[in-house]
Amino acid sequence: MSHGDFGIPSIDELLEAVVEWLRSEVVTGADATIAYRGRVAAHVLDLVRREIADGEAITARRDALLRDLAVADETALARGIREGSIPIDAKLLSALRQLTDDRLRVDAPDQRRRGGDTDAAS
Amino acid sequence: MDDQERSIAQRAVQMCDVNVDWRNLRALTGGASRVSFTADGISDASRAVVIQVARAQSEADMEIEADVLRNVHAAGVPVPALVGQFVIDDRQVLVSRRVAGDTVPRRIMRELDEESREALVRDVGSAAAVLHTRCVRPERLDEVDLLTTYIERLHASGWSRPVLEAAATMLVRTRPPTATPAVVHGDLRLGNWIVEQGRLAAIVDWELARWGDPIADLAWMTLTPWRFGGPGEVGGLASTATLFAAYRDGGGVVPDEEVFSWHRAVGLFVWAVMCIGQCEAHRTGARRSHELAVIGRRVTENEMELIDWMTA
Repeated sequence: MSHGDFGIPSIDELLEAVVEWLRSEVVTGADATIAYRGRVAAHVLDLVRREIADGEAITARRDALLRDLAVADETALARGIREGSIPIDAKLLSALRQLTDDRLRVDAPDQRRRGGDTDAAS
Repeated sequence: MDDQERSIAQRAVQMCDVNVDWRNLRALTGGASRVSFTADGISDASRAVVIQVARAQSEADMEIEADVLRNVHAAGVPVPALVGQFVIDDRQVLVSRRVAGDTVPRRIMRELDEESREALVRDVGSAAAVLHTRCVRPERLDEVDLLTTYIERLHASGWSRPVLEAAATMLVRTRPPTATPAVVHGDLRLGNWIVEQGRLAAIVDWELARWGDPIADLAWMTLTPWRFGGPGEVGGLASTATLFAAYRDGGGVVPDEEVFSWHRAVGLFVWAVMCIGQCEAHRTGARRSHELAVIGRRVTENEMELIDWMTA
């Protein structure tokens, strides 16, 4: 957990309150540029809320995948692929699919639903 | 900052056309590397101009862009007519006529019926064919290999992205033979098409033009982000079959499916690296903005599509 326990209101409730204000007053405002930036800001906060909710579990799953591939972290994995010491095989691609699909839950859940067969990793 | 650019734009207009109302400049939505303004003609609407001012520290070379606009126009591609190109206060400035019509993707998609969507994509296919087969290479327009350039940019960014590394390796490994090089627009997608009465009135935003493989232009316009949620493969509007038919009729050489899919994957890779670049523009302080920051999270959706390509 990257945040503590401060009781009520929770981080999620605070962020949700700001998102509601952005969507009810800023996004509907007369200034088109501010309305657009407000929409993006609400999108950012929604993403942050998803990461607070699921980030820990997703990162734990990522760490398990990295252990399985016998690399210390993503930097080592990226370097290994780049240098050719880690082969681009079915095992690697399946791990990368799972990692990416997990991240999509936070970064772009709409894209994930549109994407179709994203649960095929095995 | 904005005031300085406004003043530069006003001086540029005064240097090239006295019949433009330079006192009433309106700001247009800014791009990553430039700030744009527009001004009306004083008594003649056709005099209206768009003024693009490069941001400070931008690497833009508008002299080359002006050459591109001239050659593209001469070849018969619909583009805004070039009015003037200047350097004012060390900033590059490009002035062109304003072409009437709409560029906003979702509005265009909403307002066109199915028949006009098809017609628009056919227009784009024909224009691309003219660009790729008839446009003379401007002398100083560099040949750019997109994949090599963006692999270098990924590595220079310092971001560790295993999926992008795997995609880079696979793309290099499976590279098809290059098509006959041509003037390539570089960002030929819905959003850079001025649409008037349902037809293509002009192609704008030539800052990424290069000499290279023309198939890249066709692949780029089919990327998911440029479909804006619409069903058609090309700009959410129509199928690649519609695009290809018009491109072939216009004299363009249509790639086979596997080659096209390679170019589309390069496009995904390039867009992912561009997202990294935009996020870095924020992180380095070049242009602080939550919009740019969150674009860094759009890398993921491109990675998923690249995995689909690698496992297809």
